[in-house]
Amino acid sequence: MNAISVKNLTYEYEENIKAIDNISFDIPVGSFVSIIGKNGSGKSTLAKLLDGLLIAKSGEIKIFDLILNNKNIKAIRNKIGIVFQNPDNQFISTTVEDDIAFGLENRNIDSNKMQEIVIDFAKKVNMDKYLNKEPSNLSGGQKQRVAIAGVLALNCDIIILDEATSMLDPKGKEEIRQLIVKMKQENPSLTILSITHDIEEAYLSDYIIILENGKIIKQGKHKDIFSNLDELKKLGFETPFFITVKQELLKHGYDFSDCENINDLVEKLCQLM
Amino acid sequence: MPIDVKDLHYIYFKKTPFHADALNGVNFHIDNNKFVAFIGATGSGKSTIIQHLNGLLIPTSGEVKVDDFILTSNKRKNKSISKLRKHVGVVFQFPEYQLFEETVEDDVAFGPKNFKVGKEEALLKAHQALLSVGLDESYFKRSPFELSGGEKRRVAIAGILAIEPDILVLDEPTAGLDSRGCEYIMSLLKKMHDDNKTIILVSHDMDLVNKYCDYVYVVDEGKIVNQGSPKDVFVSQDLKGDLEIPKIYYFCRLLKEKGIDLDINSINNLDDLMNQIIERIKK
Ligand SMILES: Nc1ncnc2c1ncn2[C@@H]1O[C@H](COP(=O)(O)OP(=O)(O)OP(=O)(O)O)[C@@H](O)[C@H]1O
Ligand SMILES: Nc1ncnc2c1ncn2[C@@H]1O[C@H](COP(=O)(O)OP(=O)(O)OP(=O)(O)O)[C@@H](O)[C@H]1O
Ligand SMILES: [Mg+2]
Ligand SMILES: [Mg+2]
Repeated sequence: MNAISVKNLTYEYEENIKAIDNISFDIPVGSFVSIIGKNGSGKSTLAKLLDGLLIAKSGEIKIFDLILNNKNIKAIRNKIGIVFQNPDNQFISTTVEDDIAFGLENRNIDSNKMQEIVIDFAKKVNMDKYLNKEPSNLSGGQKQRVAIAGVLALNCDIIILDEATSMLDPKGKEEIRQLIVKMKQENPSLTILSITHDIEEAYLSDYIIILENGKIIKQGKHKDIFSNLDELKKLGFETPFFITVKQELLKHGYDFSDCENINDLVEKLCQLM
Repeated sequence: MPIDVKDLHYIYFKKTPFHADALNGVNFHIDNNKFVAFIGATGSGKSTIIQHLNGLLIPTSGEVKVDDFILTSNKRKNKSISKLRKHVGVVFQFPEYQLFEETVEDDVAFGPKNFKVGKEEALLKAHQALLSVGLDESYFKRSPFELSGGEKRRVAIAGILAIEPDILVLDEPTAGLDSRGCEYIMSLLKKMHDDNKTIILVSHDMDLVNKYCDYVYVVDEGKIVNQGSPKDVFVSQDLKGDLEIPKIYYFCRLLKEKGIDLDINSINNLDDLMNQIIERIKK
């Protein structure tokens, strides 16, 4: 079954300027998808269309078995949690605690249980010391952590992350990634859509969609996308670091092409040294 | 223009229930024409530090000195802030808050106009700055609020380029930029550095810091806890392993954990790393 199914979707902010231009794709339940593409290619616009924040000019969006329309929009919003590119656009309440709770309140969760969930997720993103602070008075990375907690706490079926960790330090990025991996282990049907400029991050997903000028110029499974690195490079993307190392080694006649990740590579390399 | 910061303390919402100690005695000196980075964990105080450099924040105590401009908690002394801003341009972490005019070109021209450059010339400077951050003419008349995240950041960066300050301070300039955009902006900064400007970055991208900066300050809980050349800082951190390090040094660390000790001190880039690895294999 598909969690997301998009057909011939088009969106224009202004007459005749297509921010999303006739795109189609299907995302099976439980996928971990990355959306990559240059600045202005349409990634955030697509995210907002999926959540019904923007209404397409033409085309169809289906979330599980629901077609996105006026009648279904509420039900669909309950299934999708989206972390926006600018966390400030997400904050509604005057304390971190209320803010994480806000989405939960709309979902009729028992208030004792709610308190528990809020504290649990604040802890998970390392912000439990800041529960009484005003979200707008946090550092950039702290804001992103709170925005993420607020969305993860909702226990949605689909999570969309729009450059949600762009201002975290690398360790913080990894912590959030681990948190999501763990949530996915607990709930394998969780579907994740991650918009990112970090190729190392995209490398960890199992399906990749590449946008350019509002069009999908390439999409495919991890293997298909990363098997043609020259093409990726031509499209303006970097090569993941450990693959660069493999390529360099190959230039010197050492073939490590069967290594799937950095630890694997280090292991095999050490056997040679 | 040298920068001197002495025993800088900053408290947000002093004497209120929201009281938050952000800086607890920060000292540094940045000479003219340096390319410097402030790095450190989320909430460590980096943005708070750099917002002092153009008087956006005023020290709770201590002193910030940029050339002859002195900022202290004594408000009467701080009257030349607007002059200071001609010399120190700051791009915030969230560029949104820096954009306010109706069109992109007016937004970027605002700075030069504010510093008494004529309207025509200000627009000319704005156009040049926009082109240099990769935004072509089609963006000039658009609203800065109706742009993508990366495009907004580019406009904000163009906004300080147009002022032509002596010191450029950028808080996470490459967050949200695509990889070509990153390269573009960084080589632009490098060019300005070659042109005798001082560049100060806050960044979480350690590869970038390693490649471009000549001095690094590590901030932790409102204090500077380590400083030096990128290599000194990253290699000494490497042993402790709590701060994130550039990928080349991370690779060395993984090898070391397996008992392969490379000569990390002579590794500055990927080529150095590869040469050492190949040499070791051949031996
Ligand atoms: N509110 C708006 N009004 C008009 N045009 C817009 C608006 N928001 C975005 N655009 C334009 O639509 C296009 C797609 O923008 P979008 O925000 O989806 O890009 P993105 O891929 O998310 O880019 P980034 O990586 O910079 O965040 C861009 O050309 C942008 O200038
Ligand atoms: N406007 C504010 N009001 C109150 N406290 C603040 C405000 N801005 C920041 N703080 C607090 O001051 C401390 C330092 O914040 P700062 O923004 O300088 O961190 P940073 O190093 O830039 O972090 P990041 O990498 O997340 O951007 C944090 O604990 C933060 O919560
Ligand atoms: Mg975007
Ligand atoms: Mg900051």
